[in-house]
Amino acid sequence: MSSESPLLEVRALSKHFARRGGVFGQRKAIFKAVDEVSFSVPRGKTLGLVGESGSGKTTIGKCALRLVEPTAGQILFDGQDITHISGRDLQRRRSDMQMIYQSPAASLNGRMTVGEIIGEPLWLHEKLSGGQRRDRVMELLHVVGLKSEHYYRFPHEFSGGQQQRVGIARALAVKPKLLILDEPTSALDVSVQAQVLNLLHDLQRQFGLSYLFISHDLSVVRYLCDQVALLYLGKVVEIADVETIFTRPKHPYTQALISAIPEPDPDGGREQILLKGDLNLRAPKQGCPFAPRCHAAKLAQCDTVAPPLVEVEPRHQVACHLHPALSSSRL
Amino acid sequence: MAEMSQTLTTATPSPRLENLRRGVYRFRRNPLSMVGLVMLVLVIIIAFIAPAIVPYPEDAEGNVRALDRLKPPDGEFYFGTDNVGRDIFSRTLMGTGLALQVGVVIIVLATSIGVTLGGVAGYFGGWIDDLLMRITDIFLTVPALILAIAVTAALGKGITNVMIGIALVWWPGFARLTRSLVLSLREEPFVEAARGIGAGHLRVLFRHILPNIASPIIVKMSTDFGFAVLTAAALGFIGLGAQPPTPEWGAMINDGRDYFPDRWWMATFPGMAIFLMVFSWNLLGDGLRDLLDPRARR
Repeated sequence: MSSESPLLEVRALSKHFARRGGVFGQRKAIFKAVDEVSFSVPRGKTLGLVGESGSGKTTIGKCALRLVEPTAGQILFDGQDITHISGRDLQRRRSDMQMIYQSPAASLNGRMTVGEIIGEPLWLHEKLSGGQRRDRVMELLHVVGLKSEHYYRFPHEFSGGQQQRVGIARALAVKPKLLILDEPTSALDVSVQAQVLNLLHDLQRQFGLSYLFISHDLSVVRYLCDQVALLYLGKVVEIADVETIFTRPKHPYTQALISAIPEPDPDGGREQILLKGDLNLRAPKQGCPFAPRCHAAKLAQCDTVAPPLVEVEPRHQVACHLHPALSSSRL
Repeated sequence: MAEMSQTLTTATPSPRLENLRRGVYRFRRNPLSMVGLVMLVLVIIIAFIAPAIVPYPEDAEGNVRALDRLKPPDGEFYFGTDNVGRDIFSRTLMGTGLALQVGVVIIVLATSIGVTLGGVAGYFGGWIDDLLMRITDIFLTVPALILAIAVTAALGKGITNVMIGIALVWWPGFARLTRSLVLSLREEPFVEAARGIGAGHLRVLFRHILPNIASPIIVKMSTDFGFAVLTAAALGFIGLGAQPPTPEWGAMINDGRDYFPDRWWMATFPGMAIFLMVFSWNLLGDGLRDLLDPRARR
């Protein structure tokens, strides 16, 4: 494969959950957690996946890892279609992709010591045991900034930041090419967040890793990501390079999010856009899913036709009927 | 610095040992569970040394001493003698080993079957779960004792068949317990992470899920142990279990039934033995519950 092709490519990925209701549990409604989402993660880069809770960002991450079976669509890793592989092939692929979880404590088995947790993938993938495995685990502990004496400790003896480091070390043990970071810092204190983010940043350069970074924290996204995809109710509304998103957002939803980031200078003179109402997980049956909360001038087709994701300029895709007019008038 | 880490490592040689030490401390602060533990240790010791310490070890076999039949407890026969003149004290103590053996076999068999089936049902879900749980339900709908009697009667008399029969009706409780515990952990991130690093289903189930749910299962094993012995004695009482002259407590009570209440000692002392066995396992089980499963307390 050429180095130009993306490491992970997701094509029209959908994940629907059937909601059962009624006395006899008959099928009632289909909830589209992820709805025809396409994006790609370039090699050695970070794609941010941003959205509110319920926007489907975690589900996308799990689908990419095949921990959740997608309803439709295609997942390509390193140019190979992994949507339907199973057994040995899947197991081998899993050493290429690893996930870092939101809650570090819950993602570690409390009955295993740190040495066993980090050593397990080494056993599973390389059949390393005894002293060899111990040496590799020690090495990994140092790579993530932990100490050799932590080897025999249990997860509950660590702080949240240290637990997350253990999780990262476990992921690195299989020498992955891609890490899926599912809000890796949202459960941590702000000071610890910065440390973990710096670690992730260093590791990316050290090992040439690619990241799919799932978050709702825009300042963190700006620090770590090269590209950003914004999700709203399971649909991608805008994808662009991170600077483009932060300086020239085109979708009304993105604009509202960006305007909500606190400014260091209170007199900076940027108007905050307030969204109408709350996130309602039931998307409108037709039209743009964001239409009910949109602050921008509405067109007739907003309520009837779902806007497709179109490239409005190089490396910048937006799904909004308004965008040509909008790009000049606002911001 | 080197010195400090040295002292640190000697102070806490292993966190597993440290956890164990803490557990032992908590256990010892609970007087009732300590009583249970001490009694059980005594029972186990008795089981091993009984042949050496009892006055008439040959009475465990078909020894007959016609002149000494049905003597009340006295200085020579502490628990009296039975209808063929055998020393009940000797026979009761000699029966301890058998009772323990019966309990161990039943509990180990029932736990193995129950935990495996329950674990598989809870972990895989879907039709596997439905199938296994319907089978479990069928076993649970029939009263355990009746079913055990039926199974044993079908297999034929004898202590081995009693153990098999009781184990076969005992596993559904373990299956239900294990299934519910597995269900509560199945979606945990650490289980998903284990799958993510490439662990197979069996490894996830047995290496990651089961160790985290072992505590309630161990507690149930301990509490059930006494009842398993009791059930085995019940089958012995109705004559399905160990055949004469084996000193099986249930069978001994049955022997004493015809002479009750005038020759009360024949049934009373084996009954006491059963009672103490069940009681000490229950005390131990309660102690372990406080220790391993603090949320389920009282």
